[in-house]
Parts: sequence; structure tokens; C-alpha cells
Amino acid sequence: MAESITNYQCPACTGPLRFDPVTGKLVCEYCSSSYDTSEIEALYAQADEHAAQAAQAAAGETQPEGSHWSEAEAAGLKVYNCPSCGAELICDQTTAATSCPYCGNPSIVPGELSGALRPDWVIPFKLTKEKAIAALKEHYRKKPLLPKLFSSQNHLEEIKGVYAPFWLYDGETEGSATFHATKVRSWNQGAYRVTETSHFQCERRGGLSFRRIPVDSSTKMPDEHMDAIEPYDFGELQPFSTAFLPGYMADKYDVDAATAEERARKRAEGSTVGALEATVKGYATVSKESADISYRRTGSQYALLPVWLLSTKWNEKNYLFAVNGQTGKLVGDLPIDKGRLAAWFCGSFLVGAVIAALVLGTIVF
Amino acid sequence: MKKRLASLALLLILCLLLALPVMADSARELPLVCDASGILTEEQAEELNAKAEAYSRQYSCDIIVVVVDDTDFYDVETFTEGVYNKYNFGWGSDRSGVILLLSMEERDYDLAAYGFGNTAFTDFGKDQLMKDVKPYLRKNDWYGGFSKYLDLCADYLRRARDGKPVDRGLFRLSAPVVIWSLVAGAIFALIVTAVLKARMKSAVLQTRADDYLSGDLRLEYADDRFLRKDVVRVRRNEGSGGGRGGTSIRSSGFSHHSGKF
Repeated sequence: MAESITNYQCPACTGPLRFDPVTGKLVCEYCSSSYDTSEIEALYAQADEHAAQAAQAAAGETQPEGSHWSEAEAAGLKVYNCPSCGAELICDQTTAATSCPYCGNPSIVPGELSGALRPDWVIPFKLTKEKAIAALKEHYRKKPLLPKLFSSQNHLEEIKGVYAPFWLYDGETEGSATFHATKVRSWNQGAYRVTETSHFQCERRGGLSFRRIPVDSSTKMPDEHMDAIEPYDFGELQPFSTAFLPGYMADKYDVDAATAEERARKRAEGSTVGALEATVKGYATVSKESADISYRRTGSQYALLPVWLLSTKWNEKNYLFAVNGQTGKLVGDLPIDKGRLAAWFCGSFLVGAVIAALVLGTIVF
Repeated sequence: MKKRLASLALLLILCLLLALPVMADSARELPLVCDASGILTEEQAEELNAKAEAYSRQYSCDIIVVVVDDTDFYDVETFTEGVYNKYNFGWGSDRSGVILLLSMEERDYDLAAYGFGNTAFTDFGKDQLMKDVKPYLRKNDWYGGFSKYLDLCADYLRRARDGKPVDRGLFRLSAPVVIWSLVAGAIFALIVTAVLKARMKSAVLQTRADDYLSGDLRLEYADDRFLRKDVVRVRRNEGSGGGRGGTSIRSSGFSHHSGKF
């Protein structure tokens, strides 16, 4: 029963179905038949009770912070543990994990699914592996400081599709902020240039509402990478179903909703101060003096968001690149060739000095 | 003005005593270096006057220094023109000359040119010349300042005679140019490399959540309070000269560059 639910089989030939990010459908590897996920889910509806619950949530019900896997779902999932970085990855029975997508360690070991919550939502992969690789190659272009051998010596084929765990927070902020603003007026008075600077204290009070601020809930996933590949279009959120898993791995959250909320709170407060500052208009300069913003969570949900990950090693150092599996936005820090950096410094120093000498020697001195 | 010039004439008796014989091709009534405030010793005045005479003769253009206590009710530029005209300064039929007048009480100066002096001493040239002379005057090194002034005037006149007066657009590689160019080059290089390095780092934490706003800001209170007003007065261009190049000549035939020293 379990296998019949999670290892979706083609209704026509009973071959394994895989999720195709281009069409958004489940495709049979043997007879090439394709099916809507809902179509397949409907076939397995009786066993997949949680898919039905999530569908109810899509109709407007408030979701709990994740629910629990059904016995049938859990039986159809495989768990891998990375002894190197501690990552715990979930995938369906048809997906074989050969190396850790975070650190590239090839010795990942099978384990048991335990204690993990079932996600409320998922955004299916839209970007294919080929497009993700193309995005990475594009990322290397127009980078004069990139070591020449870096792009040729690393392993593009190691790219992995991972559903990264995120908490999505709904919340409201309320608070006040004080800004120092100036108006500047200048005019000529005889032989003098007179500059008059008027100083103002501007106080603002107000609040904002937020819907689904994402915070990644895996300690293995660097926060900088996950923040930088935003935004996701949450209009494409779908109730979670294991039908989206074939071909990909799903990381298990290891930061609970209360702990991860701190980052959502900081971002909400930053936006609120920014929005209040934007109302201080008509001044030459505006700077924040103080702010007192309070944040209140009105809801949170657990979602899996698609990320292509490439972990590569170069000169004994790991480089992790992340591609937004929905929008194709790629982030990742690149190594810097010190020789090239020195050459650019010397070259621009010479250019700058010569231009400055021509300008200063001709006009100023 | 007439009264003031009369009193000036009295003050200049001492200068007349120090003066060399007036040259036949110049009808001037005062020596070229005329110190009515007594800031130079007799020997210094004689030496500077001889130097001024030599340069003036060589380039057919009077190079004049006049020092007075004050300019009374007149602005320094009007006063300088009055002195130049009253005492018949200027070489040849076009009365070519350049005059540096110092008013010691207000520490005002005016560098004025006339005739061929307007060709040799452009607005930019006057500005440059005073940049080199003022450091001496600020230190009350009158002899050093006037000596530098005479030498620079001779150099400017030589360049003008060769058809290349000191003017905007003429490249001049001085020590300050070299130093500031090196500083500018280093700053430019730091900016370029910082930009290139920033392009290598794309993974950064977000500090705002603007993409996830639901609705607009609920602004409940807004109050702007005036705190204070600061007023800063800065003297415009120490010298009154400047511009895009060439010489700004007034209807009186003089061009000026004035300011404080």
C-alpha cells in the first residue's frame, strides 16, 4: 500500500513516474504518458489523507505549523544522513542519493524517518537541471577576478535538486521611529556663499502587515544563500504532496518555528522602519535616530521550496551555489584570483592617476 | 579718491628717495616697488626695485608692487586702478603693466593688469601666480613674496611673448598635482577593486521583507518639528578671477584678481 502511494506508478504501464519541472506534470519514464499531480493524487486519494488536508488549507483554512507524515507516506520515503555535515535528506523510493548536496560528501548513509513534520506547502520545481547549469555558467561570465581554472576544474554535474525547508511567517508590525532631517538652502551674498541648513526632528508611527516571510529552517543551508535567492512567487504554492518529490531530495528542517522567527522579525522591523522613513519627504537628508518596532506573528506554515544546489571544491575549499528552482536566480560566492586582483589594482591606479594628473594639472593647479 | 591719493603721494616721499631714475620710455612718477607702509628695509626695497626695473625693461611691461596701510573708503580694485593711472605706470604707448597692491590693514590684495599685461596675466594665470605668492605673504615674508612675484611675472611675460601665456588648458605638473594624482589613483583603484570583489559575492542576508508586504503602511502619526538653523558663510573663490580661460577685461582696460592674504 505504501509503495503504491509514494512510488507513483503509471496507470497505463505501471512504470515509475517522475515530476517534470517544465510541464509541472508527472511523466512515465517508460511509456512517456504524463499526468497532472492532482490526477494521480486522486487515484491515490484514499491513502493520501494529508494531501486532502492540505487541499483544504488551500481553500483558506489556517494551517498548523506542519502536520505529521502518514504511515503510508513515511513508508514510501527514504532518509539519508551525511556523516560529514549532518544533513538529513528525504527522498522517495525511486530517487537515489549518491552524495550530499551541501558538502559534496559521497558517503551518505541511509537512515530512518523520525520526528519530522510533514510540510504544509510546496512550490514545485520549474527550472530544469540544464537551465540551472546554464545559470551557473552564466554566473562565471564577466567576472574578471575569477581564477581561470575555476570554471573548468569544478564539477557541474554534481548539481542536485533539493526542496529546502522554510517557515513562512505571517505577521504584523507596529511602532514608531524618529528621524533627523535637514533642508539646505544656498545663495550668494556679496563675496560670500551662504549656506543655510535647517534641522528637523520627524516622528512617525505606523505599522505593516506581512504575508509569508520565508526563513529557511535548515542549519545546513547557509542563510545568506537562501535569503539571496529570494523572492519566491508564493502564488504558485501548492498543498504538499509527495507527488512532487520524485527526482529530488527534501531537506528536513532542524530549526523550529520559534527559533527561526527571529530572522523574520528583524526583516519585518527593517521594512517597517524603511516604510516610515519613506514618508519623511521634502528633505535633503534623512537619517534614523531611533526606532521602537514591535512584531506580532499571526501565523506560520511549513513549506518546501525548490533549490538547485551545487557544492564544489576548488583549492581545498568548498563553494556552494544555490539556484532558485522557481525563478532561476543564482547566488554563490566565487573565489578571487589574487594575481588578477593585484593587476586590476595596479591598472586602475595608473589610469586613475594619469586622468587625475591631466585634470588637476590642466585645470586646478 | 583725490584726497586719498594726495595723502598716498605724501607717504610715498620715502619711496621716491629710494627710486631709481625714471626710465625714458616710461612716464611713471613712482618707483616700481613702492612700500608706503614700511614693511621692507631700504636695502630690500632697492634690491627689489632694481630687479623689477630689469624685468620691466626686458619684457617692455611694468612690473609694479605697491604697499599701503589701507584703501580708505575705496575697494581695493578701484584703488589699484587709481594708483596705476595717477602715477602714470605702464610701459610704452599701451601702458603695459601688472601691479600687485597690498592693503595692510585689511590684508587685502589686488593683482591688476593693463595693456599687454592683460595678455600675459590671464584670469587663470593671475590665480596661479597668487597661489604661489600668497604663502609668503601669509607668513609676512614680504621680501620673499615680492621677489617670487617679480620672478613669476618675468616668467609669465616670457611665456606670453612666446605666444603661450599661462592659461587654463595648459598642463602644469607640479608637486601638488603629483601628490593628489597619486591619491586619486589609489582611491580609484580601491573603488574599482571593491566593485569587482563585490561582484564575486552574491550571497548576502536580507534585512527587509518588502517582497512579502500585505497592504500599505498604516501611518497613524506624523510630526515634523523644526529644531534649529545653521548658517555658514564661505568667501567665494579667494580671488575674483577665474572662468573658462582668457582674461576678463573691464571697460577701464584693467583686469583684476583680488582677495585676502
